[in-house]
Amino acid sequence: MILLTRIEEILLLAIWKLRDNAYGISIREQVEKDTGIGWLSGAIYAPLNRLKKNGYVAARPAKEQGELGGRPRIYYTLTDRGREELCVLQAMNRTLWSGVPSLRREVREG
Amino acid sequence: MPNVRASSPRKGLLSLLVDSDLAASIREDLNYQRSRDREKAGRAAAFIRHALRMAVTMGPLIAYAVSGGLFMIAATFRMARRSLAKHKAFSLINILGLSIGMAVGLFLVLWVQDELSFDTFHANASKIYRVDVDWNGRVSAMTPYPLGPALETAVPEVEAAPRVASLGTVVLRNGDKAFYQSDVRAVDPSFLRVFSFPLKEGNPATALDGTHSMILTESAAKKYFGSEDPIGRTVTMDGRFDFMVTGIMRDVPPNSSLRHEALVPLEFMREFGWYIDRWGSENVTTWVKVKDGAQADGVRTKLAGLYRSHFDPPSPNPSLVGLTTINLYASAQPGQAAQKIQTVRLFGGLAAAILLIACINFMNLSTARSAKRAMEVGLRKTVGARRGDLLGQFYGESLIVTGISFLLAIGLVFLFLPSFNALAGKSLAWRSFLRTDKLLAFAGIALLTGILSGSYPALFLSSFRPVKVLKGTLRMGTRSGVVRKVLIITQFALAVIVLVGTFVVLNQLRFLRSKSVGYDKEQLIYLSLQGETRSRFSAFRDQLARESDVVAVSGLFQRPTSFGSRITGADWEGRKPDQNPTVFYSAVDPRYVETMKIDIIEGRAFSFEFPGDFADEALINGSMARSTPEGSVANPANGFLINQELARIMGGKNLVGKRLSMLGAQGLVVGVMKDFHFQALQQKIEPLALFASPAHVRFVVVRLPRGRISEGLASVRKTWERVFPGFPFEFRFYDEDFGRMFQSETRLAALLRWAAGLAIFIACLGLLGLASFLAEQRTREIGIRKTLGASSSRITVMLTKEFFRFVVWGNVIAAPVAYLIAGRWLRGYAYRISLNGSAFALALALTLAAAVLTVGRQVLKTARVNPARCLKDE
Repeated sequence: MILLTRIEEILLLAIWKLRDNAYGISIREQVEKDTGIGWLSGAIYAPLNRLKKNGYVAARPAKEQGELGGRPRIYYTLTDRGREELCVLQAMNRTLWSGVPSLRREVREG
Repeated sequence: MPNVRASSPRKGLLSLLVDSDLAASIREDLNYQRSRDREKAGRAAAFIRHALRMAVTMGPLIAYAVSGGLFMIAATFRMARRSLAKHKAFSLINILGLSIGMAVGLFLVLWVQDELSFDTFHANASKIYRVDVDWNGRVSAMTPYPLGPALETAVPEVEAAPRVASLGTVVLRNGDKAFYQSDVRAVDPSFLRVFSFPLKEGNPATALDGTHSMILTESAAKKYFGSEDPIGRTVTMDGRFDFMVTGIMRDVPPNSSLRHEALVPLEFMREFGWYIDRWGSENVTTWVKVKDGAQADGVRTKLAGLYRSHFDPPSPNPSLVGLTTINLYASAQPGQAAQKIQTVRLFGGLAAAILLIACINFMNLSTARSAKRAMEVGLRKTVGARRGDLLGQFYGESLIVTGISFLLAIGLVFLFLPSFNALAGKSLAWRSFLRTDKLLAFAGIALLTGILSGSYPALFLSSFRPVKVLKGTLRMGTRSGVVRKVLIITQFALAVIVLVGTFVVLNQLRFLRSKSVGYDKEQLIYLSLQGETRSRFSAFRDQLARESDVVAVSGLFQRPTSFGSRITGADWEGRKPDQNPTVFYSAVDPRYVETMKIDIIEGRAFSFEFPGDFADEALINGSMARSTPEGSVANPANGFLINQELARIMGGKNLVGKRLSMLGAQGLVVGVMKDFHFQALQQKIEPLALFASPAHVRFVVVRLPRGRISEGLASVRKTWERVFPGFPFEFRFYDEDFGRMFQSETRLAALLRWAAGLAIFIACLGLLGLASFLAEQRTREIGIRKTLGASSSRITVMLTKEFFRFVVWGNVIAAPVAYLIAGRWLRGYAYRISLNGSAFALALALTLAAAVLTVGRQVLKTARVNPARCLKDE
């Protein structure tokens, strides 16, 4: 198994959370909301491209026409492989975080 | 947001980097952010942010795309390397054959470029023409003196029409440095304006003023003056004329068809005595420079008009030949077998044939391996390779093989450039090889070779159906076998054509060499008389004749091995009105026929005992005082010797005593000579008339005693130095001259020998590869045959027969083509061998022998196979 990068993991999660409403803009905004920082488009779309090439993510055009009669908007969904990958990551994260001592600094008296 | 989509380009860098879905998402997002910025920060700021955002978006995408591409290239390279290393013998044969083929192609490009660059260094090259004249089928670049000035005054389109006259070989002297100088030309002053022969010193506008100024080339100046400054110094010509050096010209580049070492004003020709102000003469080359924007066609019409008004009908037909086409298209010169363009075509054909043979090798070996590689293709397809991927892989492999071969080929060119120069008579430099245009042409050849030779295997192998291959139902050796056979037959056919060509050229050369010239050319030398020495010929002859080491002495007016002068308008008793042959002529010393050992068929040779034979000495002496111009020997001769060819035209028999008049002189035929070659052996023997006139002798002919040549030469030298003190002693052997006449044929033969050798070598390489492949494939079949009782010798015969079939078919196909090509080449010769079967039989024998040598070992090994061993895993 090839371990995904962090941004790839974040992207897969964002798409999963957005369900049927995952398209370019919404994915980026979801990532920004989840991480709390602004993201450059390149930093989002290059990994998205990679995820798509490697078969974790599939693209499909919307059934209705685009807003201005142009091309239909492209929506993204996780493939089975992408979903399995998330399961693996979830399990791994759980293992990683279990047994971690409290990170809060104890207030010392005196 | 009305302009969200309109502002984004549909096509662009983005579409190249990612697929259309993702590109659409990215565009949508970028435009969305831009319109949001516009609301917040205004149009300008939005635009700048948009541009920045675009750039930083592209960055990672580009990086990803490039890394992926590199990975693919690296993968292809790795696979190709593995495949090449796995089949070492195949790869070696491929690379060897291809690199030889490509090296031949590279040489061709070098050579053709050099030929095409001829005369292009003149700034006005496209506006300069030479006047050629068609005299009823005989084309000559020699024109009358008055033509140039007439063109300048009568044709408005002509800017200048410089004339060039050749002084032949003269003696130039500065103090004690005296040499026979060839390529001395007399030219009109406009010559320097029309042509781009820059002066290193001197003023081009005035350098050819007067009648006794002279321009020397740098190397000529060095020869006569060493390191001294020649400007303003005096050079003496033939001991009679003094010239002042007024200019130094840069050496004439090797790719110039005009050649000269010294230039003098054309007006000097009057004094030299060769200026003939008549339209009937043929003495100078006339060049024409048309004005900017003027058409050459207008000049052509007016030129034809000029000729019509100065000649009785049927007047000769003049034409204009472009300067840059002269080198390639000018008609063949004596001693030159063909036009340059024909040689270029021949070279091109040979190089293409060899390259094709090499490419066929590559295709053949690749398809032969297809049975083995079919499995690989099937497996690759099963795991998801598309046809495009496989095409990429096979083209990649062939391009890598070609690339390696190309590098090797460049190495070969580097290594063999000197040998090639010797072979082609060129002085191509390695330096000129490294020019961009040439390198591009070479890379083009390499790419073409790679694609050409990679196409068949790529298209053929990638079309395999994986199911069939993996189930083992794909039958190799039916369709692909036919193609392979056709290819290998083509290879041998090409090799046979080159081979037959080689034999024909060699035979023709041997025939020309051994052909009798009509006199005894052994132990025969000639010396040239210049200026003053001419008037003392009789004294020299008489003194030399007394030497014991000299067999015979004589002399003549024309250059001994190539007579040039000819006239029309001869008249004789019984001439039919429509007879007007072009007759060559020469003044000779009376003992010419005897010295040369020319046979007399009828009548007798000239003799001192018959004073009536001689041209009127008194008249000649009178005219010699003014020096007689070439081609206008206007003195009455009393006796003529004619050759068989002229005798045939004059009616054949009983010609002795008949009246003959030519050159404005009346005379009687005293004898008929057996035909002999007075020009190059390639040329037909033309009608010839000789008359006796020692006063016109320009060349002394001396026969030396057999076996005592050096003693004879010493006597000649001693006598020369006594009679002509101060004149350099130089002589030529007749034999040498004839050797030089065959230069182009000798060169062609050498070239063809190489080409034939390479063609057969590469074709045999292919045969070897195929033989080892077939042996591997057929071991099982042979094992079964042996089990059923076939002997080793029977199997050997069976296998050999198959390879012989390729060779024989190749020969059968090549024979008619070779016959046509060789026949066409031979038609250029007046005297030629007849094309018989021997060349073809020899080619067949040689290719069969080569095939046996190549596959013999492999066949024997296969035939001796132990059936138990090869059948044990059944």
